[in-house]
Amino acid sequence: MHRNEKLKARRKEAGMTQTELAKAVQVTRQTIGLMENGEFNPSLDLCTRICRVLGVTLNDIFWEEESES
Amino acid sequence: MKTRKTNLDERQERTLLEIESRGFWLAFWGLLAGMVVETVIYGFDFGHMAVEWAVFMVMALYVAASCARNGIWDRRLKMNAATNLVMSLIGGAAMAALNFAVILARAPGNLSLAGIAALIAGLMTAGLIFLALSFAAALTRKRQQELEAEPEEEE
Repeated sequence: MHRNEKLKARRKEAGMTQTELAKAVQVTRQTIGLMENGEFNPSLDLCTRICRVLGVTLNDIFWEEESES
Repeated sequence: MKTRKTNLDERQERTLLEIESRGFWLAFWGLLAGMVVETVIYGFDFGHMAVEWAVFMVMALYVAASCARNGIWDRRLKMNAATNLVMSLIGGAAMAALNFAVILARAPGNLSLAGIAALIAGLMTAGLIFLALSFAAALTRKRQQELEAEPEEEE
């Protein structure tokens, strides 16, 4: 897995810290940090919750073009 | 020929983890039950159960240390003194019952001796469990604070 810069960027655009996003989706701060660093592969359910909080779609954060992967 | 990292897909990997988890806890509680049964039947003889005890302790310490290192306490129980006290009392009561049964098996009818020994063993066990749980909780809480601290770049 590789770093999820899209998630980090969208979170910062929303003006949220990792702790705030974690609290909003009911996980630990470490989980968000590991997702952004590409060290944790989240469930579809968690991805959906994050997208709802950030007001984006799954494509915006989790879709990777061939060249990106 | 290209080799795969694993023969399992995501669902199978999860199923295998669940099987391994159940196997671990079966072995853990099975060992404990085995030691308890041996103690009741044959009396307390550490020499006869040293290997089982060592394996049991390695399993217990591995789980406790790994959980503390990852800031994990329990799925449902809260990390507080009240929970620790209740768990300690349950452990103490179990040890008291075991002592009572072992002594009665060795000296049938000697209820007062069995009762006093069970009470002392139970209180000492409860105290030790409470200390161990309090220590583990303090370590886990400290680790949680470290893990949950916002990275510097985020501030």
